[in-house]
Amino acid sequence: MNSPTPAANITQLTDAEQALLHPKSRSMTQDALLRLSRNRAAVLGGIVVIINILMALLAPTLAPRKFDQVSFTNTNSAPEWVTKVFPGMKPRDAGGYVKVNNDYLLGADKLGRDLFSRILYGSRISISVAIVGPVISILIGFLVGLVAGYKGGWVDNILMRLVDIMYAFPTMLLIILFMAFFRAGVGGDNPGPLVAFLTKLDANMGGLLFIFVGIGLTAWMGAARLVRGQVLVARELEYVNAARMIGAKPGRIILRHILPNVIGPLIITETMAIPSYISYEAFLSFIGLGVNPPTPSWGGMIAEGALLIQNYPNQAIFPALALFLLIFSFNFLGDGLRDALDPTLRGSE
Amino acid sequence: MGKFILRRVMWMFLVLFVVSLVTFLLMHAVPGGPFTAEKRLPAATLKQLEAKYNLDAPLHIQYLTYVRDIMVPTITSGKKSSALDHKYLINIPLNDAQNRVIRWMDFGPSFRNINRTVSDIFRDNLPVSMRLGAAALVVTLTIGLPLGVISGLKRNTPIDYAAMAVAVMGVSVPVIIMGPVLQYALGVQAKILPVSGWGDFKHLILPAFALGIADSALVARLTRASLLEVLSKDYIRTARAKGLAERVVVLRHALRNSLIPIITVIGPMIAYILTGTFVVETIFGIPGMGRFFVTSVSGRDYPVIMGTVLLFAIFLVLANTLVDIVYIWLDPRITYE
Amino acid sequence: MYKVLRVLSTLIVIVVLAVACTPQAAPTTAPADTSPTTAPAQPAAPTTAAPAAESPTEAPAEAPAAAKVISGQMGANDPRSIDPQRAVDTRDWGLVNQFFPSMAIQSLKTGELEPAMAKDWKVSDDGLTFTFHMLEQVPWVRYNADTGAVEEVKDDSGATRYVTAKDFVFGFMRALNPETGSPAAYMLAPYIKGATEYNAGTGKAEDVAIRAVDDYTFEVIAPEKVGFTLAIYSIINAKATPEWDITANADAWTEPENINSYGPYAMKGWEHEATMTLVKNPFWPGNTGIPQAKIDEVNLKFIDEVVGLRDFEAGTLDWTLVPGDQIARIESDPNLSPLLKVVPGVCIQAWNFNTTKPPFDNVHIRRAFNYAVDRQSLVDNVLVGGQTAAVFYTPPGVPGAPSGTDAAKQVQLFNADKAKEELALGLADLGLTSVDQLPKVTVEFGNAAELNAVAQTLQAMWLETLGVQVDLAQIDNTVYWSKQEEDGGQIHRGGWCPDYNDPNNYLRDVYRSDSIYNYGKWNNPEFDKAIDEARVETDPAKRLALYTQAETLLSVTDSATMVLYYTGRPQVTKPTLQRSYSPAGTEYFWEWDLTE
Repeated sequence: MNSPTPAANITQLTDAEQALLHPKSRSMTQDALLRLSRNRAAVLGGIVVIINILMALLAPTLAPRKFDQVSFTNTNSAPEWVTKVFPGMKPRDAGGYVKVNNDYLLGADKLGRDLFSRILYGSRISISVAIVGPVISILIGFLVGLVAGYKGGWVDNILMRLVDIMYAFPTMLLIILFMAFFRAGVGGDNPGPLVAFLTKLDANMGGLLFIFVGIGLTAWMGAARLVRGQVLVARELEYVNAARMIGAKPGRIILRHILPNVIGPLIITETMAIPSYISYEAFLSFIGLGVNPPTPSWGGMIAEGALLIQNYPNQAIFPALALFLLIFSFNFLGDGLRDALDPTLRGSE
Repeated sequence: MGKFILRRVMWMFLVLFVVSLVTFLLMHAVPGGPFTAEKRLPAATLKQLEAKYNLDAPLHIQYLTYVRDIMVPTITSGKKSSALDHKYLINIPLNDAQNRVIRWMDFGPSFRNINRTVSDIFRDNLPVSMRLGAAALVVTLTIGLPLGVISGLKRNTPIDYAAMAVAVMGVSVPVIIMGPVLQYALGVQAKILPVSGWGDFKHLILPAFALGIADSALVARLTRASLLEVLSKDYIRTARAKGLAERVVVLRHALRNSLIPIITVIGPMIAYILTGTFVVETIFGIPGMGRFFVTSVSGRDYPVIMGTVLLFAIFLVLANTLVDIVYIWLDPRITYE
Repeated sequence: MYKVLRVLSTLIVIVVLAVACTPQAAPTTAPADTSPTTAPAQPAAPTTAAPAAESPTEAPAEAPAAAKVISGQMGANDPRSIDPQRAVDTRDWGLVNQFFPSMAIQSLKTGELEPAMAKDWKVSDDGLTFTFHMLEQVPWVRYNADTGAVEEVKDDSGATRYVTAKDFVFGFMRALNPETGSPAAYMLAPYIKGATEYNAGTGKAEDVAIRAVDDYTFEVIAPEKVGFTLAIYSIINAKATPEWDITANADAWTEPENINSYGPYAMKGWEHEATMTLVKNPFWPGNTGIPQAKIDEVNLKFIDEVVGLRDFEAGTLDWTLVPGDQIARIESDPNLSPLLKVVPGVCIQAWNFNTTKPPFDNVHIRRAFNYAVDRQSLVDNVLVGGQTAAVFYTPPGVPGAPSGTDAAKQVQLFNADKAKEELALGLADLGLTSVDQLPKVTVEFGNAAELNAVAQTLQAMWLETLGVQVDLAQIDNTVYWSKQEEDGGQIHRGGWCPDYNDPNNYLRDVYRSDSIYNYGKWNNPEFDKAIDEARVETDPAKRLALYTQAETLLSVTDSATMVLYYTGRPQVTKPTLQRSYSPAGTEYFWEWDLTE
């Protein structure tokens, strides 16, 4: 691994940039942000992610209806433009089967709920899964990997064997088992205080808590391995040794020397894993163990809509499009972040 | 080398032991049993069934019996027995006067598919998943690797962005959308490929594509990242400085070394993809193993849960061992002595 | 390095071999039979005999012109069992009927019992002794994969095995034997003298009143006179089963290489989780209830109806069930709409109150919730899958059920005003001033898409009419049922698909105060008295009156359950296929025919 060479390509920069930059005093974060801001794909991705987060936060104000507001006369209806986009969706007036109702921007689902509003609200679940999933797995993985790599010896051995064994479980089966296990407490008469508390919290979160726990418990191993590997590499680096010798505290070594090295690979693997976190949630909805109805989630909407893809494609395609955009953006943002945080590229173009 | 194999085998047994024990305890901790159903069985019938399948024994006895039935081989003699053939995974006839047969690995009966055994499921349904998985893996690699290499070499150009967009598209369209759309377009409308079913090569195409495309995105992005990293290494600069043709530099030096992280990911991927996928198999009506990973849990089909988990663990350990060996080939500096 | 590779590859080869090492699936495993007899001269030549035509989707095109071959969708999963005494699902029962006919079978046209394996039967004057005279010389058969033909099964001496009364005695006793664990034993046992004790493990096999009078005369004695005993003697596990086959092959006896059967179809192949192929049994002589099959080969695909419809539209299936929400599209499609038929089903979807849990221990609150549900809207707007709004628990198709009578037509379950009235009464009873003070209500149901839609609809309707916000809890199916067994949820999904076609099965077997399916713990002695009397009542008019009383108590007066809708079975069939429709989905393939 190369040591940072901040001044290496300084001559390639324009004068204006030269003037702006003070390489010596620039912090790692500033440096990263600057490089991130120059990556157009990443910036676009970031904007979409931010829009998504805003959408999730402002859903109650933005949504024309509440996500669970049903209308039994408007079930499966669609606005005119949708019936034109999907040629199979022939309106009733034209001898087809689709109820046309222009009050709904994207159409209504089988309970007559507004698809657009549900997509807005649904972003809450998908965004939180996309963020909390990686955060949990990074937290657990970072801790395990750090301890294993730093302590070494038998601690390392045991932790890494644990990681190997966790890998040997089929994830889906394990998540379903966990979900069945956790959810069994619902409505039970005499659960223990902890179970009762967790069950209540889960119910208040629309069933999301246990999905997080399920994902967290099955997805931290990659991060642990990665962090451990980087710690081992970093431990041997001269500047880390030097830092240790001059009496730097472990906390500082981790923060200054190890974190920068692992954060890039961590981000890229985790952004790559985001689709799989979201697909876990979609899969759980697919088999009816996802978030509690009527809370919408994109995965759940897609799973439900996929059954109707022949007659009401709008019910699956629009949430799928939203999901697609989000994952797309997360990926480009992730790539950009990785490049920006890569210490070997630090200060370079 | 012998030591390495021995260590691996011992390690595999440890993994299988831990995995099976944890699964065993977890599945018994989840409420409901294999005979819990919409139409509840009368208490007397339930009791008889539990006795028949040894479910009334204490848990540790059940576990030990389970392990014994798998591990300990037996020799049977006498008339040919279809029942025993189905019960054991491995039946080796000795073709002698007493008609003796060495039988090994009894994974137990399926509670859900009442007349089948877990060995039957392995025999009939696993090869289907393995064939589908192998085809999907081919799709993954033929799309993923070139895409990753191209975008890695043309970094930050429109080609790079386009290639990555294609890759990400593959991963962000869920299979539950991709599958039906493919079926509808190519099966119902164009009628060039069968909608569902299993048997011929043409049955394989749509599901292999639907299954392989998502992973190909992962492979493409990894290849790109890893190739970029390698290309910045000193020895590549040296190779370039020596005046070697760019094609040689990339193919001979860079690509080979950038394969290591990809191989690491492909190991577990192989295990997952060869043991079957629930959604794809359901959508395309494929009689593979994948569904058992889901239906066994929801039906509390204890022996099938255990069987599928063990199967997956074995595949994973084998795949990882394979990966370790490929490492040696890719990077001669690595040894396992 | 190379050593490692070699050792490892050997290891992998061993594992793969182990996986691929199939049991000796050769015809030799059949019990000691020799010289296969080919079919005697029969109206139709024995089947396609084309082992090459493996792929069901291609079979229609490639089969010889004379053979009639059809393929269709038959449920999403592999049959759990086609062993008559151990089969669990209704769909599987339909398959069992192809191989193992009962003494009698219910006609799809008239609903009456018609002779199948019996020539005729006699009931003694006291209504207790049933004597069946069987068809003679119906051979046990098996499909021989080598010759590609169905052949008779021979015993050790080389003589043909015929289906005898002894085989029926064996089958009945196997169903009742507690060690078999037959899930349908609870239905059979109470209607045979001595059987309940034997099945519970307290009585002796000799005391069960079943016997073979001679080779072709079978006799059963009932403990009491009940109107539908004959129907019980024709239920799923009341079949002849091959003792020698089961002894030799144990659980594997229903595999295609082992199975011996005698019905209109024999099993040609069974690729688990994918397809099953039935082939016409030319030795089945035919009877009023089950004539000889007209179609030579029936390919059944185990895929869900969403995929089934896609296959049908691609032209590769001859019939399939249709997902309910596709009906609107099919009806508007000029090509598909003539092929669609919505068959009224036999299942009732009803959601129960736990009458011991507040607030549903109060009858007014139960009625309020019950009256607030607009069934017609649920069926017409949300489910749109051929369901019918329900009034009484027993569907109208069941003989002797009060649904569909004038009394039923007067019952109006949805009434928003009444719902509010009852809510006010209920709140007053409980000393509450507003609905917010009601205990929190959680609705529990298993993980199926349809239940999800129903639950959300109910939730919305209660909020709209009563102003009560309930919580929904969708739980893993098995966890759900085990929870209900322990203690039914405040509101939980109930409903019933019948084991036999009589109101007794819907009402007494489910809601009697001591029934194991009464998860709502409803207890009304008046109801118990009515259904007990109705069970043994032989005068149809009186019986109808008793059931009307019971149904009214259950779903109106006491509101122990909210009956919602009767299921429907929407399906499409190619115009060339002439077929009958079974409300339960146990199709009678022997009645089907293919026309050009």
